[in-house]
Amino acid sequence: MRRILTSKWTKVAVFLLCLIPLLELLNRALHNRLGANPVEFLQHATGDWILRFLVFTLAITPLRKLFNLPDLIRFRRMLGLFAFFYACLHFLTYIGPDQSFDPSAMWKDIAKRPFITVGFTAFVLLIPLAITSTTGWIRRLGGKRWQMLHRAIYVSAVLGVVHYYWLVKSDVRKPLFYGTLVAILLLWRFASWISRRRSQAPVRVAAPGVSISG
Amino acid sequence: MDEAMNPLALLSVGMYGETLPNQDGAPVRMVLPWKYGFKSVKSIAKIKFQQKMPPTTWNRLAPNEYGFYSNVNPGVDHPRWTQSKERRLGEIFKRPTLMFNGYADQVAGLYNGMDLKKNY
Repeated sequence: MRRILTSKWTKVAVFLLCLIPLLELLNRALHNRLGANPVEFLQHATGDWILRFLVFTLAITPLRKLFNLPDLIRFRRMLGLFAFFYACLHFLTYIGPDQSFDPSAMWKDIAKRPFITVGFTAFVLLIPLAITSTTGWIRRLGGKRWQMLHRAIYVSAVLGVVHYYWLVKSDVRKPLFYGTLVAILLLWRFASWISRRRSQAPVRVAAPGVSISG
Repeated sequence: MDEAMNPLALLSVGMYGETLPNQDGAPVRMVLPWKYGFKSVKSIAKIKFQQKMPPTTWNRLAPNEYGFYSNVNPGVDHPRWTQSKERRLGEIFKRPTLMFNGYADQVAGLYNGMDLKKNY
């Protein structure tokens, strides 16, 4: 398993796998198979893939710990950047066909529709993470600060799910499905944080049961 | 009544040459071209003539969002979104929505003297 995870070919293979959704959409576009409302189709498809890649990215750390596979870390940056890549496509389908590249219309819409507000926020939060994803930036910021900054992905993932939940009219099963996955991945982190704090906390000698009041 | 008597108003039992499916308002739906895309009367089971303005489904569910008339009016925003632009099937970019879906000449007279911001 270790050999597979550390091989450079695995990284190439994962990269190509991550491009399949894009190729599938291009193929559909070329063959006129994007349905009656192609713009909406592209928006929904790219939106789905953002949430999937965010879930994949967030799953790396728990999987590393649970299955003792530290080498999985090699794929985290790539998966996160693919989430950002599909987020850029998603955003393009919004500012282009929906807003006709008109910034003032876009700002009005962001203020008007709450689901756009949270979706836009989720996207904006990903931008600094994508920029500082390089090894150089990790060094410049220092591991601790870099990690703090990159915890913004938790907020982004939650907002992404809210964005989806507010968008659908009645069938909330898919947003709830992504919501559950994100919740599990975040709760796992919270639980492991609690247990780490417990084990690090100095053992306290039980105080005598006398209270002094006065 | 004036709206129903307008020559543009029609009752429909089909769509694209086939029987109207349930989700599109079977057995009979009303098509008022100047309201199309906002809220339409669907699944008509009976027609009653009343003295007073009757309650309507969407108006009862969300009175601050849906008025009685449900006219397409690009100048009046829905509280949660705008209806100033639309995308037509087969087009990529949105285009400005016309007052009464472009049927202003035929139907604007029905609402003479009404404040369309109040009677939306």
